[in-house]
Amino acid sequence: MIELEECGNWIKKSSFQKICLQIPDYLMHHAVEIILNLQKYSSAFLYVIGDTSYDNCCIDKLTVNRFEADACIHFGHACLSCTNHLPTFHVFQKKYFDIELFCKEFNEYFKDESKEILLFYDTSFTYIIEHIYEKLYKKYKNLIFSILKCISNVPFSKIHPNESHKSIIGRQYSLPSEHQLNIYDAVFLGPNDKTLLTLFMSLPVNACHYFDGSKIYKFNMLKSLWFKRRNFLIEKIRDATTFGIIIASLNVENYLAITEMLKSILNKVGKKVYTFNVGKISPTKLGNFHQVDIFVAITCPESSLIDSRDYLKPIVTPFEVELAFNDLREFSLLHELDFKQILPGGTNYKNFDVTSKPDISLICGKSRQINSSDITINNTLTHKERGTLKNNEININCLNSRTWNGLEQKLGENHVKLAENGRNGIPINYENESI
Amino acid sequence: MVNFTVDEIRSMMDKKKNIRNMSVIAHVDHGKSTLTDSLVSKAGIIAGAKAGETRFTDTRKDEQERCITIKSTAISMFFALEEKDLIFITNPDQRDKDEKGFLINLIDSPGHVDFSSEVTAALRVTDGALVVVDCVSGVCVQTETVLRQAIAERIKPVLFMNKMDRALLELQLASEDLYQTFQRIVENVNVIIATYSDDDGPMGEVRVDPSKGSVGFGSGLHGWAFTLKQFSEMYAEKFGIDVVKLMNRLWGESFFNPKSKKWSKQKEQDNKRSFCMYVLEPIYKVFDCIMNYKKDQCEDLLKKLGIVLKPEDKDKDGKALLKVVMRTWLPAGEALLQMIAIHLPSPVTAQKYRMEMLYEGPLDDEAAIGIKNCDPNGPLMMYISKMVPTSDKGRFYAFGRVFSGKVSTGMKARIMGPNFQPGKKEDLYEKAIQRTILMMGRYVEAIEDVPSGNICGLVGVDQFLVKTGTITTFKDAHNMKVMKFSVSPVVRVAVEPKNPADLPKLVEGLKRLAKSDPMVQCIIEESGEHIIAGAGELHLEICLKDLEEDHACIPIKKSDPVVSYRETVSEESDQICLSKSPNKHNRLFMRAQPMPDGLAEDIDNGDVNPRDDFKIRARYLSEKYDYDVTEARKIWCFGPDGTGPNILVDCSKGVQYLNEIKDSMVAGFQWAAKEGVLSEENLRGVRFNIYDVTLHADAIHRGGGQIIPTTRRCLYACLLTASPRLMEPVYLCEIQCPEIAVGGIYGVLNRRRGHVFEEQQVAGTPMFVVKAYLPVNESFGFTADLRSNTGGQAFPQCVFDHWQILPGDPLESGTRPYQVVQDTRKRKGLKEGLPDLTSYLDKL
Repeated sequence: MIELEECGNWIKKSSFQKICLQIPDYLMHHAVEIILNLQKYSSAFLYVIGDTSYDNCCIDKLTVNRFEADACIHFGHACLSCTNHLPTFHVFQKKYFDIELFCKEFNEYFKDESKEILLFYDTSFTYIIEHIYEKLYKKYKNLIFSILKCISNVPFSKIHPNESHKSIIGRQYSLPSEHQLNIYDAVFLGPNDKTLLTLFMSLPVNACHYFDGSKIYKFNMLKSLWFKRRNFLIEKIRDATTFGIIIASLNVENYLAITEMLKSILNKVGKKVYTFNVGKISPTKLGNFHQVDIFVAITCPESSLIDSRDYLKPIVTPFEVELAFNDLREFSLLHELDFKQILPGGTNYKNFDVTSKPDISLICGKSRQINSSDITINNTLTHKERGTLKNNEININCLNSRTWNGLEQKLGENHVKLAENGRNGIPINYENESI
Repeated sequence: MVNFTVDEIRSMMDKKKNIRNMSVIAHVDHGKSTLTDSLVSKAGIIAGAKAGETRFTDTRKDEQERCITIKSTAISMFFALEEKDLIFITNPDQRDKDEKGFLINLIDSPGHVDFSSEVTAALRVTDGALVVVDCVSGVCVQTETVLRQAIAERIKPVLFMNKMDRALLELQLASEDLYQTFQRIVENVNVIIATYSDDDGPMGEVRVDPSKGSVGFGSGLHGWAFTLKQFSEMYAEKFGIDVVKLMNRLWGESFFNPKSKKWSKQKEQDNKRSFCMYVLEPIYKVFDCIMNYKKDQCEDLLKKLGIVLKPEDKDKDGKALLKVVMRTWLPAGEALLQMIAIHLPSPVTAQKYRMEMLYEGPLDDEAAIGIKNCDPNGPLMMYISKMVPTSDKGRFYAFGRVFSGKVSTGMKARIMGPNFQPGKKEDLYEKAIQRTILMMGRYVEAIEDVPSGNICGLVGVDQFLVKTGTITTFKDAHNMKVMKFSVSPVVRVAVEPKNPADLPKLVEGLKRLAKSDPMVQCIIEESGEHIIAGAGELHLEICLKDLEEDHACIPIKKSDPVVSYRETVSEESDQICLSKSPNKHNRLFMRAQPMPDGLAEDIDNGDVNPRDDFKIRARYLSEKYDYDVTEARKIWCFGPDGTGPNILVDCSKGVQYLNEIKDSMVAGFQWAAKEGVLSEENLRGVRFNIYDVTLHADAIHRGGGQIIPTTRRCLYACLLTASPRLMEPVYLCEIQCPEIAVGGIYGVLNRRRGHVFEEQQVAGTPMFVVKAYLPVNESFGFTADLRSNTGGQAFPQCVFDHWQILPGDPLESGTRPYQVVQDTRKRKGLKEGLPDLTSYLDKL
């Protein structure tokens, strides 16, 4: 059962005329119930958004804007990375959590009571955090709780106006001024999933741990498959000649700025770039673009972690592209999933510089060059086959490898026939050719 | 003191007829580096007394410590030949009329099979080869391999029988037995030569013949050697016979009767074989006198032979005296020099017949003509065959041979990697050559320029090439042909830095390692593991050591060696597999079947390849493998990477729009062939047949996005229904040992799933040769195991031979292949367990 009281009060307090309810597919069967319930609190017009344009963890601003709604209520898990000015209310799930067990484990795991610990948690456990806080804060002097940066149905989440609070992946925390982040251990309540990976990947702490509901484990970023695969992807990026930038979220800030930045980087290193907007990313959609060697997904941090094994061509993040080409960026064990930080003004911004020193690919063992502009091929037209000439300046390599170049005339091969009735109906089920 | 200057060498470089580029090749431990010392000492680079012990061309510390050559090393030397020897050079292309001096560019190569890629690289830049054979162990497997490679590259061989000191001192062979041994080795070598070349071939007669002086005898360790020419010259005056005629009489079925002073062709009562009598007997006498301390006889003998000892050597006796006497009497350097200068071809001679083997482009363009004529005024054509590390870490000398034109310091040239294609920019650079240098073994000498026909090093080119390449000034030049190695990198280790923050250093180190070795492969796998692949355990051991100490300079963690497997099928799919596209509008019907035996190898060797004319290929396939001609004509592609040993065949009839989706299906096939269904290893030896395809009528609904993943799913279903199997690489292993050790060898091989297929005695020796097939996976620690079980008497040489099915069903838990699949999946971060057929197969 979804608790809507808080939510109802929120609508009542403000005076919204049109409100969108973004409900994930697995809760869609509750939509009617939710609407009926909320209508008790306000007379505002309520819309239900299903089948979102992009991933469900982000607010579907595009649809909200289309209805010209003033506010949005988001149900279920959220990545909290959307910082637009649309008033948003999050309704999180409340999953069962064994506080006693956790506190016992925690006491056993962290024997040192003065240890600096930073606590993060999954959105579905937010409702319980207050109780945990009360149980632990007296004993552990240096235990700091993060808060979710949103308005929601559960306590421990609000937008802190105070600038002294640092924020990461939609979570805020405030450290004593004399402490640095790297002396802290981070603990995450929740399973070893995308949210945890996203968080720990970009958090420069001393060590990471997580509680999966029964036990506390140490999390080793370096051993994670994702991190190992990054080495491979970076080589792959350097090898690629054609890039496809996929814009897979329109409500993360600065998506245009990062697109421009990527384009300028890739142009500098002499790569070809295409930009795509395909909505939700799927292997079927990307499979249509044969000639693209590698895709860069611009989306919220959580959705950036795409296991691209099912895709014909790998998908990488903007940070990886920058890491692959920018000589001024030093190798780091951390990963910046929040691309805002690598833009000018971000915490992880580096000037871009690239050397044109040739290099060896560790994937195919061939030599690769970054920039080939210093080579001149004088005779633009060269002999290709007997009696034909070829223009070297036009790159038609991608078409050369194809056998199908369009309609075949087959003049003289087909007999002349009278016209006959063809198919009719719609593609899903032709009338004369049922499936 | 070095008895020549760089200026002298430089002036010799212009006299291309007086240049000899040669490599020293042999089986491991037959004494190449030791023998090379004799020439190096003749050139005055090392002292004569130290020759044989210094192994000057073993420049690395580990080479000296392990007493094994790892890298090939080049050295340029200048010698002058005497007038009486010069007349033996009759071909006008072999000598400048007025020049007595000869420039010898020698490359000493490793003998261990793991490093045979170094031999390949050395052979490419030389025209002649000194084949060294230990006369005690005879012609061994590696002798045959390198000789075969040399002949294939059109390299002319001369033969040297090494370790005669051992034959005399240890084995105490009688002179007739020793002759028989020599005779057999010469025959064996000539059999190999005859197998791979023709007397009417472009090289002319390649056979080695002692009576022509192209076979040397001696001891590299003691520093003495001779050819029949030396002895013939000694006796020529006494007998009043021409030197050349006498040489013929000193070898083969030629006997002399000292009483009747008559020559005869047959063995008779009183006569003796001339070789034993005139050549071996004096040597036996010297050995006998000195080793048995017959002081008086000794002095007489020395006087007779005209040997004058230096005062400091007079007090020596035993082996030390023997060395000095033999070295003074029959200096090895002199004999070798004559063999090289007289019998090996000059670049002028060699490039005439080698050009067509070397150049990829049209055989009548400027570059081809330049190479053919070895023309120093033609366009520059230089082949870089390997990279030699410099003292500056991470930088290399690009080492190679100028075949045409002249390369000089500061000149601008086009640097073309192996993937360069004329008219395209890929793998092409236009850069200035920073410096040209002369390789002198342990050190280098700067030199202004180097004309055609010479071997040299370049500075500043290394960063534009990976391992090999072509350097030219000719705009329309094609590449020089890439080298074909006789070994494959089948053994792999994964490496990672001990400190994760050192990763960039490791990556940089791997790139340097990839450059420094002609064959090693440094790759990063999809799972992010850094893999080093080499020919064998020893090769990997050296590579890892170099990586840790020289290239990356960081502590490294390494996994146990592993092999890569291949996925294949053992039967035809038990059903026609159907897969539907995500939109359910397109259906593919296919089946997998194993290729007939031999076809996968034919594809590997390029006998069947994607560039063939499809009609010729179809005829070949139908004749040799009984493939249906119409089907064989419709092979859509090879994979993985467009060339691999798997094929996709269109067996459908009259399918509409099929040619429109061909590209998508090919892409799906390449994907599936690269990452098989069991553990994402490459496929091998699988033929996929497309029986039927139904497609949506609108092009938009049958695009790549629909067809590519569907093809892959369908191929996976085909594999799973065709009794999938794993294949493992297998070594051909040759072990040499005395008879008593043979039993131990069988024991070790049995434990390691190896099987012996040949066992024979080396004629004339107590040694046995055992040939066996041994799975590479079982070969780790094999050498050590073998030694401990045979008291250190057996020494194996393993070289990758073929792929073989690993017995057992990988889909049945508890079998060995199942375990391999699970381990591989785990290593690659894939879901554990088995792939599920239902997720690939759809119902109609």
